[in-house]
Amino acid sequence: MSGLPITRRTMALATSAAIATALASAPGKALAEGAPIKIGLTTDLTGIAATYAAAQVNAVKLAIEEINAAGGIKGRKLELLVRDSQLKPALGASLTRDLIVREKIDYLIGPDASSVGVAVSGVAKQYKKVVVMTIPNTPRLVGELFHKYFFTIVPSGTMLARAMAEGIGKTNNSIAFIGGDYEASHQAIQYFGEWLTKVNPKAKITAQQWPKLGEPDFTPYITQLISAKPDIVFSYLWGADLIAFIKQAKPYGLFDKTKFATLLFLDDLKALGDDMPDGIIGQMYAPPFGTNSPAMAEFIKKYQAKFNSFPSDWAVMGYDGMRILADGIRNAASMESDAVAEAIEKLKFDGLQGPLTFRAVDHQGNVPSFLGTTGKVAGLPFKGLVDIQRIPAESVWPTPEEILAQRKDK
Amino acid sequence: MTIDILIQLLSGVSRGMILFVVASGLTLIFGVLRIPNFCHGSLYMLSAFATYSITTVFGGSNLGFLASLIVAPLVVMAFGAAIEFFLLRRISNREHLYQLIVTFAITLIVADGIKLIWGGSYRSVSYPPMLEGSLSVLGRPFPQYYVLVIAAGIVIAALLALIIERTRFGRVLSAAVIDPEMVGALGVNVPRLYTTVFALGAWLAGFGGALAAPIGSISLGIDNSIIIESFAVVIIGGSGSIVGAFAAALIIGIVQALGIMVAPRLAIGFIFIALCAVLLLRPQGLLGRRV
Repeated sequence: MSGLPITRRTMALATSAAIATALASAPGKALAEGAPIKIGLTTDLTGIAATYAAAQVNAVKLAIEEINAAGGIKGRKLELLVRDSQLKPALGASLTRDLIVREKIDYLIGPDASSVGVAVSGVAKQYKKVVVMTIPNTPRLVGELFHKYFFTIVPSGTMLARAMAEGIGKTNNSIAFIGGDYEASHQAIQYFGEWLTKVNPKAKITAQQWPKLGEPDFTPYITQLISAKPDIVFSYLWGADLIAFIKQAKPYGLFDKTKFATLLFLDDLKALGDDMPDGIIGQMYAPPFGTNSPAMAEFIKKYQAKFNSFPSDWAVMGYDGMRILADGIRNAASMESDAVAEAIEKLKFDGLQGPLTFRAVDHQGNVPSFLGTTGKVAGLPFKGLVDIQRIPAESVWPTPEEILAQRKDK
Repeated sequence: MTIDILIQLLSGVSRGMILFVVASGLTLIFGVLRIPNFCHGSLYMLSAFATYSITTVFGGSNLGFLASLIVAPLVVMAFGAAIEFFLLRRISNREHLYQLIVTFAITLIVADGIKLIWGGSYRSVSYPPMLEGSLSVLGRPFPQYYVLVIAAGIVIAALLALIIERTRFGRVLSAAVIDPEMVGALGVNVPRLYTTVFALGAWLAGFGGALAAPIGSISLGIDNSIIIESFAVVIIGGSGSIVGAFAAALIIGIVQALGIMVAPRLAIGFIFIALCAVLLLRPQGLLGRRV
């Protein structure tokens, strides 16, 4: 600004702008009670996780629409402001900061990728803003990065890795691993390995394959996995990578030769359609078909009617996340972040997947995760999981002592 | 163990063939027009998405597969010709940097355009029903589709070599690589030659995209990995050299496939190690600067 020459015209413009702002904001102050409550959502609408962000935004919008239709909270409507962090942590931090400082948002709801989640959590801590995370799940968020305004309803990387070890570790002695070469999959195999020694001391991880994220051709890895002759392959591939892997592994007969267990998102099931082989062990975060309840059925119907697509795990968590935030605001003594954080901590939330509470040590919601085998599910236009097993958070989450030890180490 | 190596070798060859088809277009454009065509990967991606739409219309039949293999590359070829005619031609006498920026801008435009038309989610195209099974190679299954890929790569390589060695167009093209001004002085319509070469290059990117579509997943971002590897092929093979590109693509495919057997943790690095070795030992590429 300082470099611009000041002319009479710009001065006039600036003055009128200042007056206009003053006029516009004056009645706003008087009507503060009726002004909307602003919710900020920074998420990765661009990049490899864009599909998940899109479902999250849809679900949050749906929840807000319903809350507003029911009269809002304390007489105020909710307003959503969405920003695209493009899977760039630095951009996520600056957009979130901008939402807080310039747009004056009141509360945050979670981003998409874990790396951006770390950045957003940092900004939330700095500005004392409550943030409810609905997709990021790196254990660092509940560990060394934890602060009292942070809440998560996503099963953490630790919980998922342990649940997988519980699910496949007992009956298989030689396990081969394949995962994209990035932080989350290195964490996954580490936590999986640690839990495996408890579940089945005889079991060994016999081979590890680390293709890059976005690898177009998995065939060399596939042939290697086959020649390792493991009892089971544990995969931490997801999204486009998992789809490419499955399509390439099928004609090599990988799924006939060895059992295969993988992290699985509903989006992958949708994209693969009938090309998804039956009998794969899938681990899912929050699949709508994992919970058989009237609330879930109602949600699926509403979501499909509005967005013309089947809700994914991300939609389930986004919808619940927004309603948790809303309940927190409603129950809090004031609109202050501290009061709302306290209210969420005490909340007994009736979620799509059942009752949900947060524990004090890390604000991890006691959300389940799911293991099952792929197959036809009645009423689903693509394949789903059959013989689905619900793994409660309490059986796999780190104990408060473990969390505290993890924080001390850093 | 020997069978393992052989199977690994075959999968490396099939990977190399797709890479060759795409990179041969890049090396032609680079060799003749001297344009580092950054949007080559975008053309590949565009073709893959077009393949998705075409096969969806036909419901995943053999006919749909053949239709996509013919139509998608042609669509991309027309798009490529338009890029050359309306944009690159206007700045052909500027520095390389400008051409780089324009082609880079096109990658962003294509990516956003695809997002607008097809949305941000990832897609999958099924193998054509006639090629979804596998053959037995020494008692091991090997995907039938990869046999098609290898055959297609060899046919394309042979056709390109024939065009360059045996036709007038090929001779003009070879001459234009060495001295475009002299070619123009001899009465060849150089701008038209450039549009033709760019269109041919785009067709090759499109054919690679259509051929690769059933193998992997189709998502925004598949342009990135292919463009990096294609440039590696151009550098290793020598710019403008089809034979060099063929050899380089095979080397990359095989080195990567066999490298994973030896040191899986280094898998990502093999291609770049090969690249560094060539740049240090033979900076003009394996097969010089000949078309």
